[in-house]
Amino acid sequence: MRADAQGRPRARTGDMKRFAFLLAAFMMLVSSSLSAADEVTLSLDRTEATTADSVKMTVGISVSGHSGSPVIQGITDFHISPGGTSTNIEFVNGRMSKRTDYIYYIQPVKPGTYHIGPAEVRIGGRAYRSNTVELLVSKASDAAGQPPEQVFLKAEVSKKRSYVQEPLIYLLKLYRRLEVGNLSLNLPEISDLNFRKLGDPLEYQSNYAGQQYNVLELRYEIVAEHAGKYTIEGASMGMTVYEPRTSRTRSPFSDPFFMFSSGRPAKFTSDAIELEIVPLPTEGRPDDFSSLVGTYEIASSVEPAGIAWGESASLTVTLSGAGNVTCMPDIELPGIKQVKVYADQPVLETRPTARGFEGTKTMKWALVPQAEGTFVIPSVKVNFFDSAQDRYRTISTEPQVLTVSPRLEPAPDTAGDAGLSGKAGPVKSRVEELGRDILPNHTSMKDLSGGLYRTPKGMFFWLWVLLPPLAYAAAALVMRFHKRSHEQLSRIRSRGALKVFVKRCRHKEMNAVELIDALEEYFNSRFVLSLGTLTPDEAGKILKKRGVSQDTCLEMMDALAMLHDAVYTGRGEKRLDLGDDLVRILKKAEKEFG
Amino acid sequence: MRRTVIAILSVVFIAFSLAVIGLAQDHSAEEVFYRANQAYKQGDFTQAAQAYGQLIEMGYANGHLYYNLGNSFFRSGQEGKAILMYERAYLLMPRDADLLFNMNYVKDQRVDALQEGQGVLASTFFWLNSLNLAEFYRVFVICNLLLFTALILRLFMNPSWMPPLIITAAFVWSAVAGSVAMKWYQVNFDDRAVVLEKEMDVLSGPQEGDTVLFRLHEGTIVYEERTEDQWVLIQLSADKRGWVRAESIEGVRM
Repeated sequence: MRADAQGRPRARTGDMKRFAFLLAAFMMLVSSSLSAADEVTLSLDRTEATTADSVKMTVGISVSGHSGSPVIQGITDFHISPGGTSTNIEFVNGRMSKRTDYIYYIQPVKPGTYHIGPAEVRIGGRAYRSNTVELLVSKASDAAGQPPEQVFLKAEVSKKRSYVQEPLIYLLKLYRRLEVGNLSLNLPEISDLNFRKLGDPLEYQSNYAGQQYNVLELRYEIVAEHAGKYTIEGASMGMTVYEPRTSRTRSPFSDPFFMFSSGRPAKFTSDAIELEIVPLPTEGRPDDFSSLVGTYEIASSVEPAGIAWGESASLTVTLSGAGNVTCMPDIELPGIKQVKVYADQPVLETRPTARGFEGTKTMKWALVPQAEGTFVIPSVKVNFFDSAQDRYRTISTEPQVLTVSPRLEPAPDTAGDAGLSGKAGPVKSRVEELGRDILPNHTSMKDLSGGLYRTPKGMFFWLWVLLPPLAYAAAALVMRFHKRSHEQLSRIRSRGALKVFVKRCRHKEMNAVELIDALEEYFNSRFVLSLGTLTPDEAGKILKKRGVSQDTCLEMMDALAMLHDAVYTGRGEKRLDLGDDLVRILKKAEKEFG
Repeated sequence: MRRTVIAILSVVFIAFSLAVIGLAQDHSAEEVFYRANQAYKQGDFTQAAQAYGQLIEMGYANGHLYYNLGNSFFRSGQEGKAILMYERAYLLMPRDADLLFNMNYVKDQRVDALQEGQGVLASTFFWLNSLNLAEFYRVFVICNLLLFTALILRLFMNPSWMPPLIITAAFVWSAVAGSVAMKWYQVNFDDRAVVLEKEMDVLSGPQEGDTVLFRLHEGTIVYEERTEDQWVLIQLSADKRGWVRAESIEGVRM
């Protein structure tokens, strides 16, 4: 390592510079990413409440820099209790985000519809404003005179009388002044009434009969399929209730957790509710009514509104509202002259709210004009029963206009060609379609017969299909017959071998050489061999292989050994009396062949 | 001897008569074909369509005649029948450029904006639409000839290249045989039908008073499911099914 004039190592100086650079870059990145997500939001934990309830309000500030408490408008008719602040810092994909939440609990003084917000904060001399939210406050039910209990379950419905298919809100509230746990809920089951859960349970504080309670609220949407009178039996909720200690001596631990004894199981049931479901009125019912109930609106747009011939535009119709949103019908677009229409799959999106399910159905069509000019996309309509106004309504879109201009021809680019070849070629132009028509008839006489496309006649086809396998089968049969004939011929010849041998031996007395010669001829003929010299061992092996007994094999080997002895001792020309013995041995062997 | 001569003369006479009848029929068909072409040229498209139809009934059904018949129907303002004849011609001559051009042109004139699928069979075995059934038969005959020739040769000689040759030939033979079977099924079990009326209501049941589910227009291709009395249950897509009167549509199957 080399050192500079002060004696410090140079490499370390370089590391320090690099670190300082990285630190500065990191700080710039953090500051830029912090400033990138500046916003102030205001939210409530619900959109409906009673004058007895407290509502949690959160003002979230994601603005970098120091800010004071936010100033919130529209809360003059509320009692406000601060709920503290919380700060959350997150690193996501290298970006840091900081968010401070100011929490308040607000309790309305009187019923009404309130628009809360915006919340405003001033940071670095600049004002940041939030959104506004709507809160619907109803009068709390009169609970005066009822003895307040520590824990009880209460059920409510939004309307006691409604129409078929009109969604109702079933509200279940658990009021408690004691700690509870291990909650379990049993909802009443009634045929023709469908329960659908609306969002997550809410927890807040409420005043009931002059007592402050913690409330656990669950919301369900109910839709009746048929008209009639229904009784919704009480829902029951099982739980473990923790009673407070009654001992006068305080626990050394003052934590509230230790102020409750061990729990006891308990079950609470809400009151039954009577419902009357009436059929939808027949008066004013449209012929094409699609059983849609609620409040809806429809909108349409063509994007883009002007295109060149040959291009396509997209028509979007959006039907949105609240009610039995799953019954929103698929809209059929009327035919448009000289425009080809391709429908896309409709998309239905539903979301639970405090007032029931809301939904949006988006239907899209691709429009491909077949000519230039201006095309009017006709309006489409939807019927529904407006449960708020107790009447049938028809909503429709505005007719849309699509303008189709002549096809845009790209400017001929000859510069590139000239650069490549050194000489500009002729200016290319797109082949333009000037008219459309069908091509003429096929009038040649050969077209009458069908030419190549003619189907082969049945017999002809099957002949060509069956002929090759039949030829193969015939050839295989011939080959097999030929092979069998060859084998049979050999067998016949081999069976005649003994006759020939006997004939040779009985006509005259034979010497050793002649007998060996006759035996070799017998073996070659009988077993289809081509032996030059037959030794006793070979003869024994051949016979034994054919299933001849050991004794017969030994007899043959002895006889053949004697003959060979005679030949090799100079007695080969001498007459021997072995012919009959050999005939006997061979006959015996013939009988023993397997 | 005399009997033999009489028998031979009888056979010759019968054969000659059949040939004369055949030639007369050919001449008659050529006359009708010429008359149909002339009528088409002179703008008498109804007459031309009748003459081409007559030829098909006489047994001269081929792709060219169906193509000409489709042109005649289109010229006489019957787009539905024109598409029907083009579809039949397509089964017989799937690569004819004139036919493909005219069929696309006439289908473009239809009111209903529907995208036609090829069907599971044709899209999986994509080569099925490249040849017609007759051509598949011919290819199969050639493969059949090659395979069994190789097998016969193997009986007499067995060089080292013979087993792989036979395995390859057997594989090709199996593929072509399968294609012939599928094409035969495609042609003989074609459940497509073409809407012949200018506008046709599709009902929820096989009765006049039933609910109108949707409306189709001339030339649209639907799929027949089953028939009850004079009503046919058709399917357009998974969620578009309904009943129509039998005379409102006509099947593509010949």
